[in-house]
Amino acid sequence: MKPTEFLNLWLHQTPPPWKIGEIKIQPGFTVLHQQDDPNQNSLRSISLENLTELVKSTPAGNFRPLRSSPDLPSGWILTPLSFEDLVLALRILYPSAISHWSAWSQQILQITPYQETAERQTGMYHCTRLLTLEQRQSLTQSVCATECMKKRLWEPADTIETKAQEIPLICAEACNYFIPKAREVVKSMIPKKNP
Amino acid sequence: MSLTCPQKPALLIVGHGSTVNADSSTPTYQHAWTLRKKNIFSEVHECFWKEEPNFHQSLNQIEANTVYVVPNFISSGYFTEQVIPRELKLEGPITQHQNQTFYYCDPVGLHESMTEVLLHRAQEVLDSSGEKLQDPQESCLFIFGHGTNLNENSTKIIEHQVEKIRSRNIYGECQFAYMEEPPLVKDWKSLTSKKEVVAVPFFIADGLHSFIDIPVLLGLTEEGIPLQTKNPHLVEGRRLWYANAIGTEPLIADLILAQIKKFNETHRIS
Ligand code: SF4
Repeated sequence: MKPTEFLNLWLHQTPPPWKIGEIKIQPGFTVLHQQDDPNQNSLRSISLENLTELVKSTPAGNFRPLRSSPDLPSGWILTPLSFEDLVLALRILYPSAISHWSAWSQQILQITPYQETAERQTGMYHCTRLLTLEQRQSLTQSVCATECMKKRLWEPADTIETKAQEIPLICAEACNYFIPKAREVVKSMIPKKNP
Repeated sequence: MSLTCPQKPALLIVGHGSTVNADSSTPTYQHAWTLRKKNIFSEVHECFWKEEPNFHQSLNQIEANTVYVVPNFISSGYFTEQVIPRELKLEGPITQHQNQTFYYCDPVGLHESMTEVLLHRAQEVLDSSGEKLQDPQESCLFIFGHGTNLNENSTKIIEHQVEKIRSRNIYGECQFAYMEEPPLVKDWKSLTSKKEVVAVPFFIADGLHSFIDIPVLLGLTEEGIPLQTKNPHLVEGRRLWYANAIGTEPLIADLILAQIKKFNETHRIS
């Protein structure tokens, strides 16, 4: 089943409101931050194009490189959305979340081991293949577990607890936020040359 | 219900992106929106080497049976020839993966119509300044690039475009200069004797190079101080108009379509 077919079926079979990451989806479709109340007058009605910009910054206005970090700005509302636009909104908010969840649920999700992701890196990130297992474990604690809402399926893997009205955010391979952090760890192990 | 309409292909625009700079992916998103609104494709996706969605993630999201892949890069080279094909599992111009066909087009910067985009950007920086060149024949158009082996082919493309612009005789002179190899951007005043100069940076996005490094090399500002003067900048008795990066030009969306058209013609796809 294609990801959008899977989502459509799930929406029909699951009572609202639906949740994913920090947002909730209501029938109609309406998408907003879980902290916000759709009846709040102060919510800013935005377009999907605005959403592309919104997801790039934290509430403090800093660059937000990781879409699944738990700091999505609130105070906006997307409504009404067609099903096609809902899919697009979810793709902007949480890239590949629907396709990963759909594939995982159908047991066809491909998981990329860390070593394979690291082997693909080039240039300055070439060294990330030297990250030891212990270093990787501690980095997944300090980066993934604290800065990201996704559940990791590559080792060391998390367990995914499914909740009835919630789409889980799944990580199937080390991301571009993790890799530079891995580089920092590897680089810090290389003794500095004496001046 | 499926989003994919069997008659319409999907478009995947591939960008570089950045883990530290929000502006890097902005033009790719802009062009994707422009093309989404045209309703030519069943789905328009963007993906990045350094940002989400990454190349692998984007593949999982595409549902159409036919997918045009267009690199939003200014030239061919290591990324377009090695990284993108490897990451997207492309075996050549046409790749069949299960029930999907991928058409891998040339990067936007390689299209011959880039000349029009460069000339348009130059004219636009003049128009938006509210000032005119006194005599275009007494003026110089510069195209600035990075240079060095950062991308082995980008200098060739810039030089090819400069040749084409020269043959049009719109500006008295057209020159190229690079940040890191001769002819150097910092020597611009000795590279042309013209008193009026228009400069277009041949970069895919506005970022460190076009916003900070080149203005410093041009003598418009100093290290660490953002550009504060407006076009045209007055430098030692000359007037200099400095444009935004070519990749931010909205006409690039048309180049993406033009690359698809060229691909269809080359490979006889109707
Ligand atoms: S590697 Fe996965 S879990 Fe870790 S920060 Fe990146 S996306 Fe989140």
